[in-house]
Amino acid sequence: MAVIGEPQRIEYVEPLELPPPLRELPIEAPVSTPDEQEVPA
Amino acid sequence: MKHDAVPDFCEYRVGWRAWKPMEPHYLCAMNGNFIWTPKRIVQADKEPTMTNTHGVWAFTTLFDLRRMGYDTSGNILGRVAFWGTVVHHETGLRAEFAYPLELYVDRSENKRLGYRSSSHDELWERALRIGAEYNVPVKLLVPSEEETIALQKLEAARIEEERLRMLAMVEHRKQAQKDREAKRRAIARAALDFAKKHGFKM
Repeated sequence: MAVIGEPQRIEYVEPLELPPPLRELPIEAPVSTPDEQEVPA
Repeated sequence: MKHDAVPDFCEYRVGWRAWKPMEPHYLCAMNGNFIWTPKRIVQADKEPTMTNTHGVWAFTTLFDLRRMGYDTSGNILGRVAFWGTVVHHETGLRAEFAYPLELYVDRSENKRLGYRSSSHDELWERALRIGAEYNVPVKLLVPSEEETIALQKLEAARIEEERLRMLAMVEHRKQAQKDREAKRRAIARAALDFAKKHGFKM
């Protein structure tokens, strides 16, 4: 993962509410990404 | 997996990403293999860990995104919210969940491809349509004077790096040519010595 450097630490972030764009929308199942390997610019 | 530690902040993390706009109004990952579905949380295929490469990733700062050349003309930039398991890297992060907060069209003069004008206006129009689809605001990204100076330095460093790379390539080719000639001469000398030793006429 050279693009963003070496991993430093891990945490679990549980926000009190969803980000503003999603707050007023009906909650649907998340869409899963493929593994995002680093990509050339 | 939930980590045992209580989260230090009950707020999502924020990072910077770039996307390719895709018709009619989608954000497409830079490697082209994933479209961020509007109005749906994006989830990593697997939970990120300290040792794997999974997770939805981003740069910590806009400057880091630019430094790595992701601000290429035609890209849409954005601030993104991340949550769930988050692995912090030196200049970025990988997270389990993500969704864009704001989209930006870059007005920086410091474009690597060096063009704007009509293509810029077209990108702005597309970004507005995409923003409406994802329910996020779209803004123009106008770098401050300080950022402009930093970006100019960055561009100068890129040009210098490219110049040194070209020079190194030329030197490498010259050296390879010299090595080939030396080898050829050595073979010719060896053949001559062999001929003399065995009384052959060359």
